[in-house]
Amino acid sequence: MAKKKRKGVFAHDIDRLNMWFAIIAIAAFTSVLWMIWDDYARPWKAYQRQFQVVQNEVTQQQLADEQARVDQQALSQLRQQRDAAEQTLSGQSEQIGGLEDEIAAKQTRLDLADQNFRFSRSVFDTRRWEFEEARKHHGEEGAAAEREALDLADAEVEQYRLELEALTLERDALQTQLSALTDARDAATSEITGMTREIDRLQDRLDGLRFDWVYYLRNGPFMDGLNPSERINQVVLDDIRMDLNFTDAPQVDRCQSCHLGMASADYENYDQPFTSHPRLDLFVADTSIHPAGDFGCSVCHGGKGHATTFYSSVHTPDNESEEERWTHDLGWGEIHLWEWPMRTSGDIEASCVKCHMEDPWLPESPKLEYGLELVENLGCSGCHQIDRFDDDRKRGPDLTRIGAKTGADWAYNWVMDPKSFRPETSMPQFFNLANTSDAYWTGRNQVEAEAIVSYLFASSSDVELDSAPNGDIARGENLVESVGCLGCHMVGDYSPATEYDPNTARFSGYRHHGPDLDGVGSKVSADWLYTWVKDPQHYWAETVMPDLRLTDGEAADITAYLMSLTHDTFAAATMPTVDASLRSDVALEYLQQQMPTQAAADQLAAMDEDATKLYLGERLIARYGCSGCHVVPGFEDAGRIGTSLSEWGSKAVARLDFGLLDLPHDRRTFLEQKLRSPRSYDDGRERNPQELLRMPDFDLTAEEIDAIAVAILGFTDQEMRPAAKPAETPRRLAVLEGQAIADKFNCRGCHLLEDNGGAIRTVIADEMVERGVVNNATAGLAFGPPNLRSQGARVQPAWLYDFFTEPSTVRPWLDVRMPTFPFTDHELNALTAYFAALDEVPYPFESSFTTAHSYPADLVSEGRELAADQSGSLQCFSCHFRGTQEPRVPPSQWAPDLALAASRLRPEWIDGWIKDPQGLQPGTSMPQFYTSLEAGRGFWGPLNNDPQAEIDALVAYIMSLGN
Amino acid sequence: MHLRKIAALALLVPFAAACGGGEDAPAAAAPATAEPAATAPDLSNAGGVAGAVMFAGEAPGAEAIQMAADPFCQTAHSDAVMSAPVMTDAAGGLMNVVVHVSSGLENYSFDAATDQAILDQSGCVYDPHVLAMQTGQTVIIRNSDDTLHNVNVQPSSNPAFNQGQPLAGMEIEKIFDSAEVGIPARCDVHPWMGAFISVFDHPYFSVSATDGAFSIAQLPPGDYVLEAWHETLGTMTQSVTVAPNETASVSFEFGS
Repeated sequence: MAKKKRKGVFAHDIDRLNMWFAIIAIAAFTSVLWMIWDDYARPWKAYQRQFQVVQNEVTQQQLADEQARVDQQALSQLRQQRDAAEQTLSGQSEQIGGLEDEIAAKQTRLDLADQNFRFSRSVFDTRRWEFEEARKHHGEEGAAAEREALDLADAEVEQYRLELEALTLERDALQTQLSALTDARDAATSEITGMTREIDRLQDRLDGLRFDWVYYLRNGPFMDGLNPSERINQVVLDDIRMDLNFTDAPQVDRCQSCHLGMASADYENYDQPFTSHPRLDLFVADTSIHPAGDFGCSVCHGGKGHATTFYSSVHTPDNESEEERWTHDLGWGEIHLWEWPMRTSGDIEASCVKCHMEDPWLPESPKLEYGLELVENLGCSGCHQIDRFDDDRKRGPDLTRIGAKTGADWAYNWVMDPKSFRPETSMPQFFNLANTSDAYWTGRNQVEAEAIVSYLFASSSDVELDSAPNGDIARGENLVESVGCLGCHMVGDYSPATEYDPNTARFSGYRHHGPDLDGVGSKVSADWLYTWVKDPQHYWAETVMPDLRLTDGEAADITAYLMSLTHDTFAAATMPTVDASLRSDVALEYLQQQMPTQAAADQLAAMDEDATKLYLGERLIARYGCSGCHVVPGFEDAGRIGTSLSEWGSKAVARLDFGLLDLPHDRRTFLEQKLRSPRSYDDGRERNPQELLRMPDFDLTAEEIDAIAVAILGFTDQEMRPAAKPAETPRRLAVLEGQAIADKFNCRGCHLLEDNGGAIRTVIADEMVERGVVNNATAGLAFGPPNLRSQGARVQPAWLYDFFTEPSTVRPWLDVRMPTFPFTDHELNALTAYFAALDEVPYPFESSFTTAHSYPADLVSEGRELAADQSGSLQCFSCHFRGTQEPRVPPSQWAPDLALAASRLRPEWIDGWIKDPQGLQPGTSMPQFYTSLEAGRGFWGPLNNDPQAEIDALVAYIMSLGN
Repeated sequence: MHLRKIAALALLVPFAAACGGGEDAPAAAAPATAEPAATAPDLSNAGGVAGAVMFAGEAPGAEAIQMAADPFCQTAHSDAVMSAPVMTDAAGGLMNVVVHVSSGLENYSFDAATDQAILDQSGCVYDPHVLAMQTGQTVIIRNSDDTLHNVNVQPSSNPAFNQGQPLAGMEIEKIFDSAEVGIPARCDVHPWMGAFISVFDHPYFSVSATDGAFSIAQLPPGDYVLEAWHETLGTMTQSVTVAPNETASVSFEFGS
């Protein structure tokens, strides 16, 4: 076909132009379509469609379960009943129709009468007011007309009232007639509805989960006005802020757009993204204390909460296989520019620190709790600023009187290699590490250690020691194993496995609170030890070592035993002779830091050997930061030498010096390497001695490193608003303070407190088996210190205060003793308040126990009869002490002295204890006598077998004992 | 004209695609498949297992229980009550061993036993010393003594209880809901008093008699694992095949 070409008048070839227009139009149109499609087809929509399928599956299963649960036989019987009743009714349709019509007609009249009655009441009220006004102004006679009108209105009200009553009665009679006919059907119908309510609910839900045309229409493109069911689910969290560099904004979390099943336990068998949150009791669920609506997700998990794709929300894989799978299936890739990638599941507990910085105990985040314990116990805050531990006492012993305690030879070898003397000490190693173990440093290490020790002993002051009398080693061993030393100390093989139980993920290093005692005989002098165990504060005023109220004889025996625990290599080790010229070189090096070279040389020449050692020792103590953990004379005001860790968890990765090591650049890797080998970032670098890294090596296990890393990663600059944190109620503050004190003095070394600790109990139980007192360890537990569960509810605050100040004997059969702790007055009050707060009982003196002693005499004597040691009575003194009277059961079953009750116990606690001992203290030997408080379920005829009356009598009797 | 039609068609495309569902998201995993429903066993050709539990070696001698702490207990017996950690007869038959089917019954379900088990405290000892029963079955714990007993039961997978029974004739009714072997029961007032309760979710168990004999009847044919449990000697297991209408013979021998 020939084409006509128009030429001449047009500047362009119109046909060509049209073709180009067409091409551009099509391209533009296609890209518009593509834009629409791209905007519409979001990944979260696909997840939501998938989730609807999942929901359908779950609901159908629930429906099937519910149908199986409902008694189908009863249901079909009910249906038959209903059908039969309907059958009967259909024969009476005329009668029923008539009745219904009549009722309707009656109701119409009734409504009218009711209206008339109400109107007449209004008229009456008006007339009454008019009459009252008239009488006030014109007197009784002047108001006669109004009185007449009032009487008329009254009569009218009365008339309508009667009519209303009559009609109501008539209607009710008709209604009764009708119900008599339909009762059977209505009863069956309502019972059926009751039985199938859940089924109907599930059925309704299933109906709402269909993929029908309505679904596709409302979720189509451009259909946002139709309230689509596929939509972004988000929470806006006013109290949790997002840092936008120059401003902050409420955190917005949209995770729920894909993680659709997280808030319900129904989806626990499904994979991500639909799976239920594993701890709905604590998180996400509306009934938990951290509901997703108030806290969102990213506050704990990190990541970019407002992102809506897998990639952009900065997920972090837990391990390499996950990383591979994600990269392949989900297009995962690392996003370097987002400072807060999601935390891995191993690190997630670090986020708890944001709000729970002040909580000493975090039983729900065991790894973090363990990490914080380690950070605290290893004395990290001696060198590094960590806000949480700012007020802590120094972790190591006071060195101001070290000369009275041990010798310079021991101290030198200890400083050189602490673990060779005590493998589990928290004193780290400073010398012979990665950057200080070549030939030069081997000599220099000796110079430095000698100088430090020389300084310490030269500046040590005197302390008066008692001279230790001869003691008996065997008796001493017995005492150490029974009075309670082993709550805080270990003797014999120590293994880190006893510190941290990976199965329960619990820290249990309570028996590591004080130093392990192996080899102590090669360390200290007998006189020092004797003086120390008798009165620890005499040597060191700030020590937390309590006074066990030992007699001189007991102290001598314990001293004899502990002095027999020697460390042979250490006992023989001495200080080597060091290279004097090397010492001078090192001293010169330090002098040159402070003054010009010539002045330094002159100064050095002016110092004799001892002066050089002292000078060098002082400078080295400053360099290594010994005073971070120890009180060292001359360093009372020294600051911390390390970098601050308070906000380390948010330190930019770019600011971490990975040295020449080939490691992935992230905070956790840096920390792990630093903790594993603190000086390794010096590897391959050319540094002069003053520039070398100086963090000591704590010889940590992989578990310890992991836990410490979690804790430090949690120290961030992310500030939470107070509203998002736990409310600072008086109870919470009291509990936190009490827990901190309990940590400081290691109460859990001996006692079960908040269901944890009691480390010494199994030790004592084993000891009792060994001594043949009991035949199994469970029975031996009875000889351990008491479980302090419900202690606050149990005892009177005044008694507890006195007991802390001056412990008295409650359980006469125990060898283990409550020591006298060096509590301050403030700590004493805080501890008593803590126990009261824990059990939410009145504190301090509001309880009824102040009037407890005025029980009626007959009630007391009834209680006495009931408790008596005879058949038919409860025989309380089979197990309980009464003053000095021993129970008749064997010692493993003995129970506390009831004669102390009046001054010690809260009467309302005795009442609760008698009613349910197992509930208050699971596993207790105290039996429950009253399983029900119903009349007749008691034991005592004279009180008509009324349990509550019997318990009242028992409480009255127990509270009057010992008076 | 033509272009407009194409445009109209193109507009429909997203709708059609939307109806197809999203293929760009990975598939969510399906839930674990439900187990096949358990049914009551067919007993028409049931067999059984019988045999004896023996003890090889020297059994430690029995010792008299010292009951002097409670005069009631002391006077309840004319002769001393003997107790030993391992009770055997002259031929070496070991008593108080719980023999039960520990696997092979997974596809069956069983009704709760309708009769009641009884644990009696009589003369300050438990009778029986070893009690075996079914889950859901009621056990009556009775005090036949005119003195205070408490029943302190500390299971690991059932709820614990510790109840005092100060009066003669008092009874407690208890039901254990989960299977558990060797739940210890003790009386804290009389420390020599101990008993062991074993609870099973099926009726195939037997406590060996004084001569060590045990028998388990009405067992559907099949392959089973039998477990024998003794309070101090621990457990032993054996596989056994039960043929239709036959009683398989099994014996256990515990060593010291």
